[in-house]
Amino acid sequence: MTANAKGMFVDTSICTGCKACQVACKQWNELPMENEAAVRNHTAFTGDSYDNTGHLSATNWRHVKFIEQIGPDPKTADRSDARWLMMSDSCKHCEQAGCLEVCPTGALYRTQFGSVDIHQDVCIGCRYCVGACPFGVIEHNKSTGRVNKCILCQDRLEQSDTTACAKACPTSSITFGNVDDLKKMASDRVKSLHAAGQSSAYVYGWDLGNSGSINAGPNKGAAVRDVEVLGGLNVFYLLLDKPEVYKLPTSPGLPQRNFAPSAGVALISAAVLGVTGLAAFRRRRIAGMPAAE
Amino acid sequence: MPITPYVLQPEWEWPITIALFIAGVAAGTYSVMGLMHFAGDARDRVVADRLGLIPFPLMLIVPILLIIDLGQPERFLNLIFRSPGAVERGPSPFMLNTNSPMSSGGYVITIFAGFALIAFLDSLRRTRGWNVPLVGMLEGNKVWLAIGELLAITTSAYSGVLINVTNQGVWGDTFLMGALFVAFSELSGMAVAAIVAGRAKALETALAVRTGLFWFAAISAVLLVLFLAGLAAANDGSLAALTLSMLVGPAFWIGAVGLAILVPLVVVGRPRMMPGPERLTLIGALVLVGVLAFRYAMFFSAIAYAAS
Ligand code: SF4
Ligand code: SF4
Ligand code: SF4
Repeated sequence: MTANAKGMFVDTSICTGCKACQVACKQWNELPMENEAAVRNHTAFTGDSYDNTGHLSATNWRHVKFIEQIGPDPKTADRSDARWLMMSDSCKHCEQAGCLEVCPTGALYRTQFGSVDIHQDVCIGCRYCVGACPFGVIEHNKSTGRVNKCILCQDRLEQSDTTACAKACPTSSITFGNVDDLKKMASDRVKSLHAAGQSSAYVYGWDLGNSGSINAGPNKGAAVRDVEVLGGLNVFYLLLDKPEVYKLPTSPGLPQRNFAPSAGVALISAAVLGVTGLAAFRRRRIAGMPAAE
Repeated sequence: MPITPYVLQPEWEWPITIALFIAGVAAGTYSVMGLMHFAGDARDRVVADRLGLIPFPLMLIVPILLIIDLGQPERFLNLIFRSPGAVERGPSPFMLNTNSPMSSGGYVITIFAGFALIAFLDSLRRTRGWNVPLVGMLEGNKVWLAIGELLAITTSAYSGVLINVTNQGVWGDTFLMGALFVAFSELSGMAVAAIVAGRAKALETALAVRTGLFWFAAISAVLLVLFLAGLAAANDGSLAALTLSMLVGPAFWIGAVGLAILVPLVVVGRPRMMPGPERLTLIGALVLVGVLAFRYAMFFSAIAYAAS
């Protein structure tokens, strides 16, 4: 881990879904609207949720997820057990970043703050990084032919400022700082929530030793515990339900796990094919096949 | 389970599928030409010389298609030469990321194209009597040939390993993609040899090529079964996306399984169903279409998986 790495701790238990962070990110980074044509014909928004953005993209570097758990049974009008989970999502600036590992041009790089940034002038738009990110964060920008994602406000950090989204967050759901300090803050927060009866709280991104059990919603009673992901996430979360409820993978891996085995097995199969091919030219014929007519 | 359903698909569509199919055919053809040089004899010379003419022109098409996909030619160079902006990569003028199959593979393919050029010039020298300086010195040089074979095999494996090293469903579920792509590339090379041998009425070569087609199809079939078993074991919907989706299912079954594997296994394996080497041309063409369908099914399976 980069010494004094900077990151963000996102405490989803106090997110109100106001989307100030999303607006701040759009504004600071001058990100255009998602798809102008879709906005004009009213198909740009999800339309079935307060989560009208839907997903992270090349022009939405931050996205507030609204997880609407309308219960006890969504098929009935009984909404007595309804709840919303909010989560402000972005690039996690993974310690083991699949996107960075596979980039063939050096466009993706680790900054002095431990975050993962993109040299736009180097990126060739090959999109190899897109399929490597297990979170579906980095996306191809069709208007530039390159890829985009949250860059942890690199320009602001270079001026010793905080990230725009954290600065705009009115509830301090997003806190910017040194990752080591943030980890301590997260662990203290989980403990105080547990003490207050919110036993669902745990950390996604680092294993800080907390465990609990979900106390509401469809997964009520299920055990949860802190989960370290990809060697640690510099942008990490306090969650109140299982990771998959937030559309987060439980145990993502680096795409490189397949590199050596895939190349090795390919080599073995090439050897078998080679020997067979050599035999075909030495011996000429399949048994029983007549000579050339 | 490392594959997650949240991964975005990189939209590698037709230009990339065709480019890598062509590179695979070029590599397979070179490889089969090499087999003829290693294990064949004077009877295979005509076909081997004609095969030598094929890989290089094919390799010239590959960057054109990739540039069409990327949009701007100058960007393509950043794969090999370090862009001044990539300062973290040190002072070297070259860009090599050994963790990235796209980066290391880019070098292999470029060097392979050089070997394909030498094979092309050598074939011109032998078939047309062109006087190409230095190329004649490599005639019969087994070390040179072996290096060329290794590069051809790596080029064959390239696209398979490339998509294997992702978090995409189907692509990253097993570690058999590289082996599968090698097998289908070699099969396509043997198919090209079948077309050439059939057209040249090179009867003795045709016999060996028939045998090669049969066994290469058999090896491809075994690998495909193992691969499908791997997808089933992954239990993440990738098996259904590849085999049952309307987008790629028909190409997979009709093309990859039917044309590329069953045609050589059934027709070539039964001599009575294929009385003369001239039919080998047709079989070769069908197998090539099947290999293209295989490539299409594999590349577009990411879209099918994302939609499922
Ligand atoms: S979240 Fe995805 S895009 Fe961000 S650093 Fe990790 S792998 Fe890269
Ligand atoms: S699209 Fe750009 S950032 Fe992504 S892998 Fe290719 S060159 Fe690197
Ligand atoms: S850190 Fe900056 S770029 Fe990233 S989501 Fe926040 S405002 Fe956007």
